[in-house]
Amino acid sequence: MATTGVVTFLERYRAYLGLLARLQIDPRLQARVDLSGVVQHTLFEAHQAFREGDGHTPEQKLAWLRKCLANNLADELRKLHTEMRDVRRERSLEAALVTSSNCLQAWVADSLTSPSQQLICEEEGVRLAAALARLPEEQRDALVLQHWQGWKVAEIAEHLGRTRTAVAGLLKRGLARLREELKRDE
Amino acid sequence: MSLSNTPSQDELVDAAIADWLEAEEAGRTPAPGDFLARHPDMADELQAFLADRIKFQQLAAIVAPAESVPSPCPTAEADCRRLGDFEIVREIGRGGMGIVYEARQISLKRQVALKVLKGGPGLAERSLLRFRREAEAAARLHHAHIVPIYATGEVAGDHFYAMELIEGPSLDKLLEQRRRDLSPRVSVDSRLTPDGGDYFCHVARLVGEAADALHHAHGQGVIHRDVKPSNLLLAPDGRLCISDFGLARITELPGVTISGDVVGSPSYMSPEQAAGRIPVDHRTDIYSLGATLYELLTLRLPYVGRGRDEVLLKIIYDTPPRPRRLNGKIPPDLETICMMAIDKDRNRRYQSAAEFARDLQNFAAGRPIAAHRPGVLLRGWRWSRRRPALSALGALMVFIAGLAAYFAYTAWSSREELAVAHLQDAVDDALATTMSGDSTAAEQAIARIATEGADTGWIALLRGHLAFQRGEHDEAIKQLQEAVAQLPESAAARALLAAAYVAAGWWEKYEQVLDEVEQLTPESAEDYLFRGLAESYLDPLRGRLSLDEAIRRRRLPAAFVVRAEVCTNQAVDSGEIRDALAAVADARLACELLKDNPAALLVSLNAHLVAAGLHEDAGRADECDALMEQAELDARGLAPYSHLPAVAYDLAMYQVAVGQEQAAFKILQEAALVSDNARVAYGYALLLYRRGDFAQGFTILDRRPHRSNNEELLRILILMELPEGRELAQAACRELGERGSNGLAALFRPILLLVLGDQQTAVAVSHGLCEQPERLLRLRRAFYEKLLTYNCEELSEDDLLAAAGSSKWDQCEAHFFIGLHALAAGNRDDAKRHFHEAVATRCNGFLALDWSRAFLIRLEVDARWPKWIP
Repeated sequence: MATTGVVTFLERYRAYLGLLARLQIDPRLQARVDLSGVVQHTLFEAHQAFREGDGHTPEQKLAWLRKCLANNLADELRKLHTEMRDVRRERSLEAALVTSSNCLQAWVADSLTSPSQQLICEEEGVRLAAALARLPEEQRDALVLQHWQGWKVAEIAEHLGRTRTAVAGLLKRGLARLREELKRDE
Repeated sequence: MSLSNTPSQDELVDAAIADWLEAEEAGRTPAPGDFLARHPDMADELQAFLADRIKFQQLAAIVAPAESVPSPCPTAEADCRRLGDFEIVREIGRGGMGIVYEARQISLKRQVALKVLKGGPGLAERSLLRFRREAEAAARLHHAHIVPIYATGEVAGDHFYAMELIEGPSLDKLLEQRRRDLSPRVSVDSRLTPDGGDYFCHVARLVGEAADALHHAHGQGVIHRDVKPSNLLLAPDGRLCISDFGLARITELPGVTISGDVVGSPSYMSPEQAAGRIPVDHRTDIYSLGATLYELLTLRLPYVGRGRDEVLLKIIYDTPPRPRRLNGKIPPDLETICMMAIDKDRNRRYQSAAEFARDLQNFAAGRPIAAHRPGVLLRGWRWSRRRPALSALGALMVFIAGLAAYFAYTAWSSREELAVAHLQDAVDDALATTMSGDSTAAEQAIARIATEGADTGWIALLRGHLAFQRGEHDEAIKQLQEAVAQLPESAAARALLAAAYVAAGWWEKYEQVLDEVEQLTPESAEDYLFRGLAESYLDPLRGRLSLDEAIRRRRLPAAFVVRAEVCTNQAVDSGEIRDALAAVADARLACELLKDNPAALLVSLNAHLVAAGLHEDAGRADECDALMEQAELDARGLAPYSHLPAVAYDLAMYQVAVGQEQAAFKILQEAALVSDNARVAYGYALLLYRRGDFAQGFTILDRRPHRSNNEELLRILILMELPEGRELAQAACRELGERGSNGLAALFRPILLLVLGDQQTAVAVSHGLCEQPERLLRLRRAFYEKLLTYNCEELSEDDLLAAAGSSKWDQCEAHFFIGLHALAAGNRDDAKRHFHEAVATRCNGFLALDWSRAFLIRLEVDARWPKWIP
């Protein structure tokens, strides 16, 4: 009974953690990091930890989940860093790695501030993440890059190998589709 | 792929969007209006895009409010970030009002923390004002433990201020460090660990420094209003600094505060701040710092809840566990200091931050402290107020009782895990469901508590509660007698039985049973809930105290519903807007806690209606309108439940009150089709009476096997309208006398006899009743005696009205009876005037008001009415 509760609790956060991970890691590194693997691992660890029936509040669990995800991502980045130092590949990627790591630190620190207020946001976040997860991949990528990563249209176009008009189209359709998905939720 | 070279409409739209986005990237966002005007042939598509985008941005901001956006080319961008004399180095953090950067002040070559107001240009006036005020207030403060402000300014719409850059972590990080034990991956940052010495002394010293700084600010007329661990910075030299007087306001400048905003972090808010009622003073900071101390000692917040509202609610109503119960290593004196700082009553807190600081210093230096623990007596008293059953076990058992209380507390904080909590949950749910009067849902909820292991006494109690809420008094009394037989020691069962008696008009029995309830020691929140419900008929204030106690013990959602109801009734009687607003507040909380529960919506509807009426009487049209709007929302929320008896009746009466008689009629007509219920039948027949459809009204009531008082009285009224009904009515009146000691029936009997022309019997009955005062409801006995004397024509109208005094209930009934007398004397104009007065008391749901309104309509439409006057 208690275990099913934990599993449901965690499964609700899978898409959300995936989105958070995607936001934290520079898109140019994402091809090299198994994000869904990291999320899976995080959920597994959480499952182990929560199974013991420790009576934490949802806020505490969530804070724990975020921190655990950040730690696991940081691990992945460290591994990547070692690899890259070994081969001395692409300088720009290394810069991206530093930025991602810094961001991650700030993020962990920040996620600890106001747990109860956060939980309210979290609910909305979970909904948004679930809706985003149902979008076609390119539309989702375009939205994430444009909004959260702050990339310019031209940069997204280059990254995805599309024209700038096509990127605008992806954004337009992505937003419309997202609206539909969110509405269907309700 | 388009085959031709001419781009499709879609591609044209996409190209326009690309242009827009690139203009935005370059910082030249065109006004949406201009943009759309430039592309008239695709305005719809573009508009849809812009709308989608705004919605998305709002939602997306929630997911990553705190992240710094990693720039694809970090160095190039950072160079551009300059604000006047300041060069931005990196983002340190974000708060509710702005972003904090580490920056370099070029002219003075020093590192500073730069707080920039979020949003830049186009900022709301209100935020700006608040920001400027913050800077102004903080800049005046010079204290070793307050982060100094260097400069304030504005460059190209970006408002900012520069303050000393404190490298150290904030206390919330320190707390996080202490909590790491819970977390799977430990990475110890040695800087954050207090230097080996006694942790508690260290904490006392730090908090003492903060208290000292607050005292300085208070002396300057500045209240921080948002003291919390993340605003307390630990500098590398070990000194503690308060930053972010972000919500500070200069108390000397009246009227600058923004009304309606509840600001601050909920977990550290003082009860007065959480309640948002009284203006806060410097003692709110003392509380917040005390809450921070509590967290530093116990590593948990005084109040934990699922979401902001629940936390606020607990701050207002709950008592936090004493720190030493959570961690026995906490020194008793420090616990005493902490509990004094977070007393709910600000008059019992430290009255100045300096006193607070002094006690902390005393503690750290090993000197005696000024605050004193509640003495054994006082503690015993408080204890017994909280757990009377346990305190009876005696002093030896205190230790065990403490464990039990602690266990009970943890049970609440992790209710999913514990079976006790499961059952409690199920009972809460069943209470809320039975309260709504929805038989189907209630039976399911009752079945659930049966499987969770509740005994049959509780099941009978809940069935009784359901019937009570449905207005089926006979059934309620039957079930509750069963519940009392099975749970003889339960105050809840007996109190609910008392409530059922009084609602059915059996006033004498009600008072007997209530006396029995007083003999029992209430133990649970439910005991207090039902005791409060029962007491409220006798003494609303006493009822409210019991309900307060129920809520203090546990945030029992049903208790908010009942308290809202009691406050509403009180407001109706007293005409005090204060009572009505208390009802509104409780009703809103009830709706919040019991999403979509019809009972909660119903009390909310009634509370808003009553509050609106009182505002209208006082000539405050705006307030009245706002409340009526909310009432309308509640009414709409209730529409899907209009088949439930309680909902159908109250909703219909609301529709009548707002002039939608037709809608009211339809609701009751449909409800009467699906349920054979006393309240529905009464309401439906009443509306039929108003329409002059006496035959149908009679049929509805006459076919009901066990008529309630209201139904029977109305049936008699209808009989009087029917041809040859007069004698039947007289016979029915005589039967009314056989209803034993039913006080309500007894009270109305003489007036009916009087209008039927049987003055002799009427007087005799009135006299008889006066000789048995115990048959009259104690709460209103004095007035009822006057009413009976008036019936015997031994009291003047003026004296009767004087006896009613300021009670609206009494006024309503007085005017109704006087109106009836006038009618019997053939004086239609006087009758009209008094019926109008009765309606003006707004005692909705009152028999006297319902009938006054009905009679007014009859008088209006039929010049020869009433025919039954001889």
